[in-house]
Amino acid sequence: MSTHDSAGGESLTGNTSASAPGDTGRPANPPSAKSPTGPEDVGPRADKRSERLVATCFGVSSLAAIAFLVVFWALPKTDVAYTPLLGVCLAVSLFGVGVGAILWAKKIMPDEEAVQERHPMYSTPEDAAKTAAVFAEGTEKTGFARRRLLRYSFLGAMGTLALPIVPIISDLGVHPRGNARQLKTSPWKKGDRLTTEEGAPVRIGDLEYGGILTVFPNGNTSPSNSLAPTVLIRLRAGENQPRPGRETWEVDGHVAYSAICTHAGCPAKLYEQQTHHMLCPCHQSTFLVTEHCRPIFGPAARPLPQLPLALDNEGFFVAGAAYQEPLGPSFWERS
Amino acid sequence: MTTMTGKAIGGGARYVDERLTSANFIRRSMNKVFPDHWSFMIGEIALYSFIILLLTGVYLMLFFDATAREVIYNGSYVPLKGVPMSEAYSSTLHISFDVRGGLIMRQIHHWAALLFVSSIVVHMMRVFFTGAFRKPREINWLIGVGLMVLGLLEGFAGYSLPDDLLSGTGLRIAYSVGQSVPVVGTWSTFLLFGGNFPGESIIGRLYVVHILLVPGILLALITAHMMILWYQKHTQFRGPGRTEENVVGSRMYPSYAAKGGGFFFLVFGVVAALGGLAQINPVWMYGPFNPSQVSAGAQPDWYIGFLEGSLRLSPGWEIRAFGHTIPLNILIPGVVLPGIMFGLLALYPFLEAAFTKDKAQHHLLDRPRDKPVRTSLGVMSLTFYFVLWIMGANDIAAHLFRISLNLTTYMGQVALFLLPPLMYAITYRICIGLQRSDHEVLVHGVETGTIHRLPSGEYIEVHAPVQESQLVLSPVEPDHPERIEGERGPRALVSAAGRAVGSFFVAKKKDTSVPADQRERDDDTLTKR
Repeated sequence: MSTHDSAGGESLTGNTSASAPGDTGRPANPPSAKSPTGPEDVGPRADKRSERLVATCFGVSSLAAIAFLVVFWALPKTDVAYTPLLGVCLAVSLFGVGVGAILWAKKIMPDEEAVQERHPMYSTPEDAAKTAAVFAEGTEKTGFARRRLLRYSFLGAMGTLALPIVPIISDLGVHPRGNARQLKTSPWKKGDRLTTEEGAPVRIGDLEYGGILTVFPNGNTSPSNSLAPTVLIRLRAGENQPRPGRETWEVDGHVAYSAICTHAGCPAKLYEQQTHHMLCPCHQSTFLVTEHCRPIFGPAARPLPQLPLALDNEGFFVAGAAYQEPLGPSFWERS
Repeated sequence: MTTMTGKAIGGGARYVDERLTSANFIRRSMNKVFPDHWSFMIGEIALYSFIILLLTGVYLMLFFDATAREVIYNGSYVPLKGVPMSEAYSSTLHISFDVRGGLIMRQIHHWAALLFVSSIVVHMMRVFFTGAFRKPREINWLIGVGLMVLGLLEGFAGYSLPDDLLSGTGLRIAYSVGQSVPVVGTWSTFLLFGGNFPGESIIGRLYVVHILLVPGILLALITAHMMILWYQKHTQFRGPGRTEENVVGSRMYPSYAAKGGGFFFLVFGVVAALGGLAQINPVWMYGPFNPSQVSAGAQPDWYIGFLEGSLRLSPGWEIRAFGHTIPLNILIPGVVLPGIMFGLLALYPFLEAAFTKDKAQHHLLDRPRDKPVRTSLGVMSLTFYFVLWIMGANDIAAHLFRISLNLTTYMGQVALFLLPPLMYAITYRICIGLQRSDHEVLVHGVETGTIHRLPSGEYIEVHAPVQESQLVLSPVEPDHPERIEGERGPRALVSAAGRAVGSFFVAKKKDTSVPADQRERDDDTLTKR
């Protein structure tokens, strides 16, 4: 066992587990556990065998790397096996290096167990006091504590330097003032035609009983108009139980509701004809279509807003009025 | 041979040393001792997957175009030909179908990201349950919590980039969560997204966040994490010859470097195999993002699942008063709850130190059973998290087990409050039970399997006393009485080595730490129970 103090003041003790067993005390990695072959693993023949094994690993790695090149260029990239083969070649070549290096360490390098002392994880009180004194002396020299004018003007300058950040940040988006108005504005105006995703207007008879159709205002399917998607549903006569004051919002059993969930804004339009449940797949808020889409299950707190329906003089569905309330998830300025 | 390498190294080393005076530093570094234990490798997996992420990420950057501008797809994936989509989505398809080796790079990147977050979480569990976060390592714990949160953010930003239907839905929910914050919510989401959802800017901004901002911070924090680890030296489990003042293990060079370097290639190999063989995030199947569409049964990446679950479990609460709306059904599960969870996680070392009045430095690790309160708290918190996580896939569970979707939600709501305390109690009992079995071994010795018949005709089993070398833990450290001051728990129970009796996974090992002659002598002193 050898002990020496290095320049860093750390003493390090190293020994092989065979020579000084009393100090290792580490049955987790005893020499006999290194290889299942046990004692045969020592001696020149075993050493050669280990060396060949490690070299084989590295050799396999090289071969796999070359195979990667072959696959990369020789195989058409549309081949179903292209990506899997690349993965296998890359994995084998990486594994070859990894397994080889670990076997090298385990089978060829001597199994040393070293002991190293720790530093104390604190400075001596004298050192700490000295440091504090140096800092106090430096601070004293600046006069930061004494010179009030300097102190306040300096802090003031630092404070005012933070001000330019405000307009820079606030110009990242539209002006905050406009937020609420933008979110509260209905994407549907009175007289907007209900059109399908392809832009076709919808009339009575296009939907069967229990049918559902996603509609957009006047063919505006742009993703930027994200609150606009609305569902048109045809109920049987008498199934709808409108809210007081909304008796005229349906047209011949057709009702229209915002498709955007009032919880987190996903499209809630998984409609079940029999139960008249409309489900949002994101968080499973469920709305009852026949009862003004009130939430009956899940995290949503508000009904889906209803779009008043009417027919234009060509017999196509139009919005009888704009949405009467903000669409989509709640926000601070909503109401 | 030796002289030749020595000469070659000597020349280069002298060049460096005459400029950086590095010889002492390098020697100390090479001689640095790292304790060996499989559980210390988990953090390494996180580090290695980060390196893989950097390598593959740089490659993907060369092809990805993070713009929301609408284009008509005209690549080689036929089903989407002629479909209008964002440039971001189109370039992701381009990487997947038209760049040689692009798909495997994308998939390796995604798998490595999952592995990165997973290994961070498992590493944190190891650190938590063994008490490695205690003084003097609280700063590294805090950095670790920061790394985990940033890892989640980075992952979310990354998988939102392709602008496909699945990730767009995730962004929509994130927007709603941001919007739910009282007073500043609407403002901040408008600033972040550049306007109402989805806006034109978010993909480009997430790109900057994903490739520069967060990775830069991650790199800096990882560096700090490693430097502190290096300086403080690694913790170690208790064992013969191991004290609070030393580290027992293998040296950095060559043994640890070879093993650690080899381990990097193994991790990379696993991720490469996954990237080649296991399809992940096939964005072409989801289609481009469209706010009027959503797919059912679609789950986010696993680490976001707990947020999805907490949003699903929330009751429909909303406050409307004084002209303002506070959507508690998003605010609590989406902002407040994760805030509390990560907050408690970050503060835990300080809370534990305050409650146990433990001001000592610790370099020896605890076995979880010896700190039943901490272990039970950990299991309790993990149970809470796990319920949320499972509920993020309750639609899948309902489909799989053919039960009502609504029932799974009610079950989750009950389980969220019932299971964690139950798991606390169960874990506590298990810890105490394990301590007692250790105590038993210590007092009565190890069962040898040898049956003796006494002259009276009675049969007894011979027990061998536990040897000093087999003792792993003795909470009473006479050299340092101040260390155990204030330490709670049944201190009277002294634990013996797991290896003295073997464990569920590991059979009792032959004791090789004691020389043969010593062992024989010990055998003579068999005690009879």
